[in-house]
Amino acid sequence: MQPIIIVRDLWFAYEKADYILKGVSFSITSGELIAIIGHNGSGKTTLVKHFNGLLKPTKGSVFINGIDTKQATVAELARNVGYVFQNPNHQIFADTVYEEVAFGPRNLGYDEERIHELVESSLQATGLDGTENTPPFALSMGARERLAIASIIAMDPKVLVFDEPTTGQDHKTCLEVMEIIRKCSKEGKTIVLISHDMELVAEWVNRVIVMADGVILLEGSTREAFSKQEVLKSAKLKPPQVIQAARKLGLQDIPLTVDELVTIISRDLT
Amino acid sequence: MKIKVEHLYYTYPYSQNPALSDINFEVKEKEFILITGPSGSGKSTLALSLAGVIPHILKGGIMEGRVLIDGVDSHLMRLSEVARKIGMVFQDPECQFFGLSVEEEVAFGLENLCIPRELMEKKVNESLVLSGLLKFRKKEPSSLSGGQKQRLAIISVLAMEPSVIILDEPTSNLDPYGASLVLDTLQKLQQTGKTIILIERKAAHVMPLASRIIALQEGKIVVDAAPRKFFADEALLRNLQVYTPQVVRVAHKLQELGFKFNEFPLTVEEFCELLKKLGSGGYATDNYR
Repeated sequence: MQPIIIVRDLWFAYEKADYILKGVSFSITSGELIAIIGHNGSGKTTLVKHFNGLLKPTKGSVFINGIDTKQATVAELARNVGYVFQNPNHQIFADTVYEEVAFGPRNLGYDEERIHELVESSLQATGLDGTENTPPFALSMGARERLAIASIIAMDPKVLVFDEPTTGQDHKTCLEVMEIIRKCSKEGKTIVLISHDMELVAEWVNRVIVMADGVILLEGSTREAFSKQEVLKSAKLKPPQVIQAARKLGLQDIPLTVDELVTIISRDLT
Repeated sequence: MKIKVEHLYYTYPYSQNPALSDINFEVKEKEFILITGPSGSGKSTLALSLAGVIPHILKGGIMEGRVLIDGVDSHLMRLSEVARKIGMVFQDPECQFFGLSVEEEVAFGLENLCIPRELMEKKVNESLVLSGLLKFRKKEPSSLSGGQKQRLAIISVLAMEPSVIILDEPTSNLDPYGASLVLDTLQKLQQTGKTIILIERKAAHVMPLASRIIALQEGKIVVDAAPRKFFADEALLRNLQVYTPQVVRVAHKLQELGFKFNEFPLTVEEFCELLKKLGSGGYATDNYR
C-alpha cells in the first residue's frame, strides 16, 4: 500500500529555537487507523496541524498524498485532510445543521446537487438525518460532536484527523463517536486519532505512535506499545486496567480488552 | 457541616423540562460523594444549586424545594456566606481565572473575605506549596499547563477554607498524568477532613476514594448507594449506560462463568487480591474442579 502521509525529520518551533517537534519521522499507509498518544504538551496536536497545512515545518518536510505541504495551499490540503477539532463548539457557526455541513463542500466549489448529496450522506452516517433545519447550538453536546464530524466527512477527504474526539463526552456518545470512526475506517478512509484515553486506544486501534517532548518514543502495534512499561512511563501514560491487572497477576499475555482478559483468566487460572 | 436537599426542582429560563426533579439527599461531614450520569442529566445544575449559584447568580429559572446548609435555607443566606462553607471548582478552570498572576488568583477569595494581610500571605503560601505551584507564583494563569490550571482553580477555592468542596469534572480535559495529580490533591483534602462532592463520568480512577455514588438520569436521582453495591449491579449499570471501570466489567463476566468473589472488586488491586484468594493451589473455584 502507498503511504498517504510521509513525515521526514520534522522540526517545528513557534518561537525561534524553542522546538516543540524535534526531528519526527514516520509514514502512514493509506487506509490505516492509527493513534497518536502522549501527555499534554508532547507535540501531538502540533504534529497533526502539519497534515492540513495549518502549520508548516520549520525544518524537514511533510507530504500528503504526494503533495509537499510547504508548497500547497490550505484549500488544496483540505481536500485530502479533514481535521475534527477537540471542542465542537469551536468549529460550529452556521444557523442550521444543513448549512453547517454544507459549508465545507461549498467552499470546495461543488455544485448544489453534489453538495446536497454529500450533506445528506454525512448526516446519515452520523445519525443526524432529520435535524437539517435545527440550529446547531440547540443540539445536545453529543449531537454537536457528531455534527462536527459530519461537516468534515462532507468534504470527503482521504484522511480524517480526530483530536480527542471523546473528551468531555458521556459514555454513550463516546461509543457513538467510535462507531462513526470505525465506519469511516471501513470505507477506506485513513484515520489519525489523538487520544488520552488508553482504554479506547487499546480497544479500537491497531497501531500507535507514542510521543513525549516532541519526539517519537515508539511506533508499533498497540499490543507492543502497551507491553513496554518503561516507554509508557517516560511518556507519562498509564496502560488500561486490564493490562495493569494482567501484570499484577503475572500473566504472560497482554490483553487489550475486557473480553481478552476474561478469556486469559478463565483459560490460565482455572 | 451538613447539606440537606429537600424536594428540589429547577427549570432553566425558556426551558420546558425541569433540569432537576424532586431531588432529595443529605451530605454528611467528611463524605466523598461521586455524582455521575450522562450529559444533560442535571449533574452540573445540582452542583450549582449546592454552591448557591442557583438561585443567587443564575436568576430567572424556577426553583422549588430547598437546600439547607447547616439547617439554613440557601435562599436566606448571602452568596458570600454560602461561599465560606461550600467552595466550587468549575469544569473549565479558565472560566474562573482573571488575576494577573497565580498568587493574585489565590489571594482574590481571601481579599473578599477581608482576611488580614499577614494571614493572607501565609495562606497563599501554604496553598501554593500544597499544589506544587510555588515556583509559578508570579506567572500568568494562562501560561500554565492544563493540569496546573486545574490545580490552581482548586487551591484558589480551598484558600477560603470551605468545609465542602464541589468539583465539576476536574479531570476531563487533562491527560492521565495531570488527572492523577489532581486526584492526589483530592486525596490529601479528604485526609484533612473536607467533604468532597465530585462530578465525574469516568469513575475508574476515583474508585479508591469515593464513599458514595449518586447517579442522575433526566434530572432525577436514580441510585444513591455505596460504590460496591452500585458496581455489583450489572443490570443497573447497563440500564444507566454509565462508564464502568474495566476490572468491574471483567469481574461481572467472570461471575457469569462461575467465579465467585467474596466481595465485589472495584480497583485493580482489589481485583487481583480477590482473584488470588479464590482458591488454594491455583485459582480454581469449586465450580471449576
